[in-house]
Amino acid sequence: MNTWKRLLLAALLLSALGGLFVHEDATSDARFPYPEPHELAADYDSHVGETALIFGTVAAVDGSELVIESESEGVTVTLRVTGASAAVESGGVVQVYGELRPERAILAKSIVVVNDSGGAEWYKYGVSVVGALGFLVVFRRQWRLDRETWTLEARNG
Amino acid sequence: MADLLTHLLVAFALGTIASWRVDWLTHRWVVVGVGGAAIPDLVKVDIVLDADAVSAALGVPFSFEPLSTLGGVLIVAGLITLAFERDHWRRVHGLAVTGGVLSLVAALSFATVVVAADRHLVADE
Repeated sequence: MNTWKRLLLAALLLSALGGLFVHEDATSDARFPYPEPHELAADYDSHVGETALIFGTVAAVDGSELVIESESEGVTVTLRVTGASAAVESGGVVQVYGELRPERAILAKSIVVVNDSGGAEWYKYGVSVVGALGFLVVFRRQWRLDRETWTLEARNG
Repeated sequence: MADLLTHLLVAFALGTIASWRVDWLTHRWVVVGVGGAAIPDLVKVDIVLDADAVSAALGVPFSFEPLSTLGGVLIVAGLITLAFERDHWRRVHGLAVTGGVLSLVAALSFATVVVAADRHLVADE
């Protein structure tokens, strides 16, 4: 298998991947049955009574209620979350499933905490970088790049 | 989705256990499977290269989400495979896909929420 054939195969796979990237975004609305934040921001009242699944950042915690901000297509909508509480701080990220009520409130049936605070997100990024660096160190101990053929080959035979 | 380190460690632990039983599965090959486990996390490239910005620049819809699906894992594992010697291709692809699928399963807690939500919707109607 020469380098040109490998590059051609890589180009084919990359085009297929690019096709998936475009196809996913072009069809995602049809596969997500809930109103999106930019639709709620544009005309909230027409969606009252509908069920929604909102991914949002916690802007404030007010007693048992949360205030969340959710963004799509560059538009942010702010919603009050009532009916259920979650152990989360301002800056955290939650998924809220529930019914849209008047005055931009969502009556939650379920809240799932993604990050319980803004710091939790940075912690995830931090340990992910540690994981990536650790992997590279371990990988390089086992495999080396042959610069003549531009392939990875096992170290020590 | 859990963090990358968790995905790598889960794959490393399971790969190491499997290597006790499978002769050819040496540490060198376990590492390849661990690399595959990182594939679904590539979806986070969105943090440095915003998909909406790419979409605006190219003028077409664009999302990195497929990296965190079976189709994306199969294709990226194929790209990884091409970097290895021809003799190793079958084994590398199998291991990278296995690692990637492991991480997708680890991310299922999220999918379960969506499915549960859909059932609610049906029940409401």
